[in-house]
Amino acid sequence: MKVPWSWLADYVDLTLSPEDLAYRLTMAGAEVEAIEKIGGSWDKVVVGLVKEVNPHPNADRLTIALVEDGKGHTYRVISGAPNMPVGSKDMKVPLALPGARLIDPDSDRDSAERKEYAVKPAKIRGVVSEAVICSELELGISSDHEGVLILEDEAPLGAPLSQHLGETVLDFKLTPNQAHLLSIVGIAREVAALTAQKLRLPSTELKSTGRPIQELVQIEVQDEDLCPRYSASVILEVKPGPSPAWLQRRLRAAGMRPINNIVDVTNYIMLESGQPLHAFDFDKLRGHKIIVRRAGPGATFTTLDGVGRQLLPETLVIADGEGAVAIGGVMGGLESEVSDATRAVLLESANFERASIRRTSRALRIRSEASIRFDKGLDPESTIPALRRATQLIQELAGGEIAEGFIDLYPNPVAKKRIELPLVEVERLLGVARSREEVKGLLASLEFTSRQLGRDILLVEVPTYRQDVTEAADLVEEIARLWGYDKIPSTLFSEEVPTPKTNWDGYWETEARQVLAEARFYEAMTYSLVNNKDLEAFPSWAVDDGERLRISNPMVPEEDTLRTTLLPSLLRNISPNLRDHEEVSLFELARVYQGRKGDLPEEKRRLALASAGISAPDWATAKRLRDFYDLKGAIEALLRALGISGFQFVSSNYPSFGAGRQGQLILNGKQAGILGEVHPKLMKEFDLGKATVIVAELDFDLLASLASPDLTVKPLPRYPAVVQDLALILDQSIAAAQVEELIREAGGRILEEVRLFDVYQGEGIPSGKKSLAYSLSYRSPDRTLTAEEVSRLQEKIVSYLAKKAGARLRE
Amino acid sequence: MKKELQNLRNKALKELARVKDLSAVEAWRVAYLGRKGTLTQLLRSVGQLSAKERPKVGELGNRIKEELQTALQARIQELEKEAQKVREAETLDITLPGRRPPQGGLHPVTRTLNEIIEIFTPLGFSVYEGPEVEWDRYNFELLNIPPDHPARDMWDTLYIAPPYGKGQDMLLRTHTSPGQIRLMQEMAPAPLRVLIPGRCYRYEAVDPTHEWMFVQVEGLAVGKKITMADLKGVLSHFARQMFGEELKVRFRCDYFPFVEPGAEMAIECFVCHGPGCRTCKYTGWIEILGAGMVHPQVLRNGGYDPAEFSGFAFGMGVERIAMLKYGIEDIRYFYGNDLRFLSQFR
Repeated sequence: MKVPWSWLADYVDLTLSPEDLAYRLTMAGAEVEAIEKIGGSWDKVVVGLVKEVNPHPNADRLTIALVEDGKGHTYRVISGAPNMPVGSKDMKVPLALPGARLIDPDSDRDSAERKEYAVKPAKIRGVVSEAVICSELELGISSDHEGVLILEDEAPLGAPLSQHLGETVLDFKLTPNQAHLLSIVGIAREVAALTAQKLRLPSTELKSTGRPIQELVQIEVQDEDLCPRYSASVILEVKPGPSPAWLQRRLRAAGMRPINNIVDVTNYIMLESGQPLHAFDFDKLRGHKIIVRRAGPGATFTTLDGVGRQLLPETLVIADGEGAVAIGGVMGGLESEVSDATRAVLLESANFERASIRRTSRALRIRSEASIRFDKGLDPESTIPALRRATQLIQELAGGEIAEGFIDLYPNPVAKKRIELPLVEVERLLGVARSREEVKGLLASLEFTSRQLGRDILLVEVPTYRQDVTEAADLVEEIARLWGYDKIPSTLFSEEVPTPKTNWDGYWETEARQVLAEARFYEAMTYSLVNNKDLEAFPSWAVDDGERLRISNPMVPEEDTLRTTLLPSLLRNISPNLRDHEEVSLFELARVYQGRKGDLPEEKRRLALASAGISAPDWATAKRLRDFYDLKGAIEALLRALGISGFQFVSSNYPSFGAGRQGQLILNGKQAGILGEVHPKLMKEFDLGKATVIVAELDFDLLASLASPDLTVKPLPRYPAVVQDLALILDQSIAAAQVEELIREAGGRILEEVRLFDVYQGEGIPSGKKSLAYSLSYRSPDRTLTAEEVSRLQEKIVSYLAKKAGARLRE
Repeated sequence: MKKELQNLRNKALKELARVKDLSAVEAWRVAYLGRKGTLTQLLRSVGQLSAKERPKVGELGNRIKEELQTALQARIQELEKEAQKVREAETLDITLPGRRPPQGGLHPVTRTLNEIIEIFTPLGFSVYEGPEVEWDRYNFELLNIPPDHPARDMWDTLYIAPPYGKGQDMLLRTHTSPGQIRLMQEMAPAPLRVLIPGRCYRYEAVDPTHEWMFVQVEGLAVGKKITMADLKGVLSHFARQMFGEELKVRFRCDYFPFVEPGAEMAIECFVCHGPGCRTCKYTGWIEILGAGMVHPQVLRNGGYDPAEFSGFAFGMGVERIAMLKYGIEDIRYFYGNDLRFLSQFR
């Protein structure tokens, strides 16, 4: 909301600079988003007087104006302004002298940063133009560049334009509870309270000389629930025309466009008082009747923007004898709009129920100056003062005769709220006590009256325009913000630390992330909403992924599904990164969502990994492709960090992964995750080119539930270990896990560690066979083992493996 | 005997001259001068000689021993010098990059969130999580935002479509505040101090400062003696820990329907320290978070009697904190997952 400084000054003495006042207001809750200075950059622009306007000898559309600068110099200015035709004279205009900087009309009009140009004498079609007569656009007042800005006759000739037209405008960003600040008077009241000044309300005196209004019009409110108050006046014999310059200037400075003196007054008084007003062409009201009622089924209506609209049955309309003439509190109708032909006006100043206005304006997608005010909740008490002001002002500007009296349908006048405020409440909430007198004084500056109710309790009466204040806490905020939040002390709890409450196993989340980050993986965060097609490519690996939830109004139309797996999201981030990096290894820990009938979905945590490309750790280590075992190793490291043992990888057969190139992680007999190479058929869909991508997804809820920080340390061994290698040749089909198990069975207790250090196929090994080489470590807890003992055990292992798995020693 | 000693001496010196490295020198020492060395044993047998011969032979023996020891020391020095020469010829190129352990990194949101949690934990806050898919009731109504309330304009909402969502009753939470209600309802009337982090969603066009998905942290403290002074103290402590001990902190009146009095905290711009710059939008201040005393209606909805209990709450966008902390210019980087961005966080 824009508040021109000079307008604000009508109602309160401004004792601070605009910057200081803006800061005070902002601190107290009325945020000033910007301070605009109209005319701040008008150096060398003065009020000039057009003496004569002649045709340009070489161009039909151009004219040559002779403009006096008030200091005895006359400038020749070439112009094409339609509002300054040949023969114009004695017009005051903004004259930009050489050296002035103006906004370039050719720059983008809506862009925030407009280009400027410097005024200098220039030859146009053979004639030198010595200065520029400015449009509103060139001055930065508006985006109007149709003609030059014509100043009022009273403008002082030769004076700097900034003295005459300059203005400082405070631009407020108000919050939804600040209906009482949506007006210049509202802001003035706040300023008065914050700077200890007196508020001067505008006069509401009015001279009515016409017939009683009751003889002219009949008004009925049928739906009082949606229209608590309807007030109206009638002015006959008006002459619509342009508003005076001062009024136009104020409207423009406040961001509204002048239309005609009648509509301008309704807007002016709305800006001043916050109370929206609407002027009807009285003679277009059929039957000189107004009925305020719900639209009912099937109603259509053309608003004054010329758009035909379908109304919801519960929409509140203002109807005349035959049909709707306005959508109450939202927008007037085209038919009954005030025009140049209007001779009589009915002025409406009403109060509408805010929720209904909000529903209507949302349904119709109309946000008017009226609806944004009504939707915040306005004071029914303000209809009559605003109506008196507007009626009188219309009469002053457009002439005519004011019918005597008002229509004022107000069956249930609002009562002032009274709130009990125990003084201890101030200290209890703020942490610092204020005296009774100080509290009373602060509240009084905002027009809250209070009287004592017992020793330490105040009974505070709230002005009706403060609908946002309903409880003691609201009063405490008023006290705090006027006193100053910066004066409240800072403390670090006087209360003991309560018993911790948590449902978050953040320790394990942090641990998991850390382990993966130390294993080359970067943590990704991807959107929870994905394309359903992507999810279809990864059907459930878990027992049940449930049904998917969709969003009815997604940001990206096709990305409307809450994901049931993280895998497609990670995959989508592989190929863009492979363009810049040899290796891409990502993980994400996030939720998936499974629909449940009649309840919120189940949200489960998943941990997903994806890796592709080439590992090139350093200059001395050979490069190689990232593969299955890289991910498996990362998962093993993760499980170790979480203190989970007794896990198993078993082969699986899901269609999203390559056949024979995938496995499931089993924990405690439960499915805990999937690991595999992405199936080649998905490469194209996920734009992966030829890259082999290994992915894994783990049930993190299960992992976290099994994770354990427990650790029991074994005593260090007292006797040395004997280490011997064992190289075997076996059938290719025998799984390494099985071989290790057999070795352990045969080795017994004394075999302390089995470590696979080589897997080999190729030269020297028959086809269909493979060689596995182990390093076996033997140790007894109670003696030093002899060489004979160890070789006996090693032979036993070899013969056991030969019998059970057809293995033989590799010579 | 003398002859024997002389021969031994000559042999030993000859061998010593041929010795090539320090370990061989040690072997030589053991062989001649060690406890069981040949010279040592020969000298031991001197005792068996006649009293007349004994002094002369003894003297010779000791002389030879000394001679060998001197020669040994000289040889050691010689060899060390040679070894040094060899070492000098085989220097390391210490400018070659070191072999780094494998390294990935945490997402800046995780990093920042961890940091936030670490600042609040010592003050007695623990972490609690709520659902991302919520009822309108928890996201709005119980937070003092009834249907058709103008404050609803503050949150543009993504709604769950039928059959799970009916009308607009189920939605993606627009803030972490519904967690306040859930936790209070679970804990009332016990006092509590929690942080509620998590993903939030809004129907919002994406630009350099807006994302439709983001991570928020909510804070809530409820008790019998919680005041706005505590709010100021706790949040100022946070701001200084996060952005710098010497920074000025400012609280101004602001509006959120679920707090009263409401506040916004800003810190002095750490780029320009006052006069105004791009980072602070030429105001000298940077908004950090919204906060306030828990609204009495919200306390009631959570099961606490507002006459007896009070509390404060706050909420902040983790991305915003990270953007300020790390000088990130565009919020879209966070969910772009470009390794050129992610790999800067190690």
